[in-house]
Amino acid sequence: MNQLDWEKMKEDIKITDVARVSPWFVTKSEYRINVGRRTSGTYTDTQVIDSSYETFTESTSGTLSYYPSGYVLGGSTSWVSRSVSDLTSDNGVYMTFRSYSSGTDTSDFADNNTSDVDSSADKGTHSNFSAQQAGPDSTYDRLTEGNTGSASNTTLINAESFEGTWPPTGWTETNDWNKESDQVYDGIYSADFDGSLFYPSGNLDTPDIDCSGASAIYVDFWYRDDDLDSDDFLLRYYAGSNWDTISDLGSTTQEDQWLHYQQKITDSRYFVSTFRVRWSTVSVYSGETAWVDYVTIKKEVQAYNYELDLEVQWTNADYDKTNEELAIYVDERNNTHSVDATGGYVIFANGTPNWGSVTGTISFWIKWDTVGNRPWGQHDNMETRFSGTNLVLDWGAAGSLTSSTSFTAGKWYFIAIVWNENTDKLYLYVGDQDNPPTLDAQNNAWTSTVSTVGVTQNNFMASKGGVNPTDGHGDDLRYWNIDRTLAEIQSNYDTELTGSETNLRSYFKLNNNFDDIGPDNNDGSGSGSYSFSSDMPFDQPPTENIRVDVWYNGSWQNLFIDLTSGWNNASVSSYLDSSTFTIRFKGGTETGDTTQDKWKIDVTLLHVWSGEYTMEVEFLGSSNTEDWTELTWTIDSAWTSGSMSVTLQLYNYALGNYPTSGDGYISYLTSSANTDETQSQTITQDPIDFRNATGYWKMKVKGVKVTDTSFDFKADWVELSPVMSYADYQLDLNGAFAIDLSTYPLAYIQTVEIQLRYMANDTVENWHLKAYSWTDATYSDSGFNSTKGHTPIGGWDHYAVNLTDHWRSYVKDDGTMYVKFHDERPDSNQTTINIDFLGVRALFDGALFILKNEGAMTTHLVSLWVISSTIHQRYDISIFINSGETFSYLRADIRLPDGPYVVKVVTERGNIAVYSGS
Amino acid sequence: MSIAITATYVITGNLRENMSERFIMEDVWFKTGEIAVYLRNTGKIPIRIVAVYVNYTAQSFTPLELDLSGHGWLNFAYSWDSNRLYHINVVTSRGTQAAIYYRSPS
Repeated sequence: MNQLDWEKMKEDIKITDVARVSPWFVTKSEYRINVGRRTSGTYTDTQVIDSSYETFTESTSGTLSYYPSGYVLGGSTSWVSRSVSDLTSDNGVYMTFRSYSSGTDTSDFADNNTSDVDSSADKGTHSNFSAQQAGPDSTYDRLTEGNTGSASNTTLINAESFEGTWPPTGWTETNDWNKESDQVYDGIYSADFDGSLFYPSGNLDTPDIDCSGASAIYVDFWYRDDDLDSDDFLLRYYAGSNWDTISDLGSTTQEDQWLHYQQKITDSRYFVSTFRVRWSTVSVYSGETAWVDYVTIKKEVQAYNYELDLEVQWTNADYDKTNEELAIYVDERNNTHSVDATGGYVIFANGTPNWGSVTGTISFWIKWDTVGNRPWGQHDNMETRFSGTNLVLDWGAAGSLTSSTSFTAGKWYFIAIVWNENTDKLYLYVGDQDNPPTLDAQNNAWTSTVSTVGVTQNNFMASKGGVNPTDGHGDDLRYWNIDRTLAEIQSNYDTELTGSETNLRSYFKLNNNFDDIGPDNNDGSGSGSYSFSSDMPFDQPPTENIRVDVWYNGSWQNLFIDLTSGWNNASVSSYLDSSTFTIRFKGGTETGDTTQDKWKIDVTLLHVWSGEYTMEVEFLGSSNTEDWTELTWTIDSAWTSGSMSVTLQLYNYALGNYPTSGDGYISYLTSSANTDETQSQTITQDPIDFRNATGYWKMKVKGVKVTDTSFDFKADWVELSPVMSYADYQLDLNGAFAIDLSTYPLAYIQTVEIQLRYMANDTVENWHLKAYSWTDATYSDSGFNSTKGHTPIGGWDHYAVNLTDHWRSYVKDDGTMYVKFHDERPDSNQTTINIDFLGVRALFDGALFILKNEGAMTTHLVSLWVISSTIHQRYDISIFINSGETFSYLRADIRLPDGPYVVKVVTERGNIAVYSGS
Repeated sequence: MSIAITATYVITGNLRENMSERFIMEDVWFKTGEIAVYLRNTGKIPIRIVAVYVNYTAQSFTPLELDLSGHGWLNFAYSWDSNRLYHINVVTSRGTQAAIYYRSPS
């Protein structure tokens, strides 16, 4: 014998059953008697048809049970798993819901910048405090340090009244200037110039006065005029290379009296080491005389120390939340470079970009080494050039517009050219690093066009192919295809853009590269000698830290030693204990700081919130509308978090609301997490108030906990159980059954049958079988093949119902069925019922084959035969059955023949098992 | 020497093939004037049916070949009587036989 034959011999497969229906499934627990009472026997006596039975007798009172048929989520509670059909018993099978964050979460922007809690004056300035009260939105408040250095005066000529040597030491005079005593303001002498028939002229000059480093010069003297005419007596200042006439002292009409001249000079041209004052007499005739006396000249020197100390305050802060943070958003955009095009220029995308649109705006920053040449241009008739120190626009034609500004070297200017061919407008706006742009020149009859001129080569710091390159720095070149308004230009002329702004086509930040971050993406390149420079017109990054302090208990406490780009968050729970809350922005370097720094604050707010989660769900159900004498409602549940504050409420339809105390209200604190707890309440007063006219009821579960972690509510059992009292006798009981879905899967069940064998001691009323509808959450016989009930005939009766194609409503997903047996209505006869058998079974749409491997080896079944007198039908199968195992093989496509039949299965090794049935 | 080796191979090769050949009759169906036998190759090599005997009398039939695990009907004309026992024997080209007694329908 070889191995094949040996293995074949060891095989022993059997067909133990072939069926169209499942076995009967009977209850595995005692019946619940809603109305009536048990008088003898137990549920086990109802499991088989035999001589033993369980006996029940009608009574006049009872208790029914109702379960939810639906649910409504409260707030943002979410459903997690399972259904209300799992709420009918305390069995550890949970319907689960998830809580939602219900805590408060408030962003409270700063209220004002006018407080002065420390009685210390502000230092520095806000550019736009309201910008801190919204965003982040790229609209920011620029905090700028203020100079707190003081000015000091140095007296350089001290009350010179010409009492000593003439001229005083260092002074010079020409012609007839002398000291005389005929008129004096102070002392005995004054400086005097007398006219004659020869119309003499002369000068009286101070010595060189070192006014370098001055922030102002104070000139103070007294003078007197006798018959002098205009232009006879002039006051002049020396600016280091030339004399400027400052005042015509001889033009006064207040003659023959001492007049006081005082002036504060702020023109920096005079802040030189060779500053002098001159009194000039010009062609003074006989009888005319000029006098000067008591001359004092002082130099003011300004010291520089830039500081920042700006308070920001909340006056209605929420100060009792669990979490309290100060949040400050710092604008992160900073200019980093300009292009130093001395010796070179910029070409954009091989020079091809044509910015000659019908409407447009071209703007840039520029600082000339020497004013002249051509800052930007793409064509003879679309470029900029200079006439002297005035900028000329050749815009569609030569000389379209000339600036009124006379530009100077060494200073950053902002220039914007705006045009609209449809309205014949051409504008030039000019600003500088200290002043926003304003309208500089306009042409309201500009009839030329740039949309047709084309492009020779698009250049910056030169024009149309490198013509006349201008030496200096350039920065932040923008091209828009609309004519921007002045307000629009002013809104962002001194801040970098993102590149995605509407209508912005090309944008060159020139931050160490020539990238075009606008949508046109015309990256540029340098030509000739160029470099990138840290000399920038705006948005220089701050060079020092900015601190933020909080005012608490009479002093400042530090929150941040510096702010970084983006959000800066710090807890202020330790300080926020009243509705008034004050912080200050403070410079990091407050002594010897000669650099004026600026910071861009987009948002300043208090973020306060409480971590709290809530779960809220309403269970809805229906009931009868009979007279209830008592009502018990029960919820068994667990929570995934311990110490939950839970309220359970049963809606009171008479009051029209959920009770907050008394009947219909349960409040409790849960124990540990995931612990089942049953909460129940019995209502004896007006129990029918807790259902509506149609029997509808609802109960709410709400759990709240202060926590930062979500939790789940796990409902196990929810029941409404009214007690009824009748004048007559009734019996109502129900039992639980379970179809073995592991053997008889739902997918193969065609329908379900319920069968009862019972005996009644009277025949006066009908008896009904119903099943619990998991979809309607009530017992029903809707869809049964018969709903009229069964009238007993006095002996053992068989009463069976078929659930037809409605069976699925009555079978839970796990195979559970609840079956109710009850009389038709209360009557005066107290009937006794004996139940011998009550069971349910499934009928299949196909055939079930029970196969058992009784051999010593795993067997592989390869074919199944169904044979009748008229047909031999073979089915391919592939089933492996381990030794000793039984396998239930359901085939929905096989219909067993009517009458006698044979079923065979064939193993791969060639053994055949045969089953005969009919 | 080479002749001896060849002869040995032929002998052992045929023996191994014969030993690997298995087939079964899954079903026998008595139809009017006909008997149908459903065969299944359960061996390790393809088979070819070369003879069918009913009650030891050879029958004419359409030749049938079955690959490994192959199966199919083998039909042949036969005038059978009701409720009688028939001995059906099927033979392969290598001589392997499968025989069965089968009672015809009454």
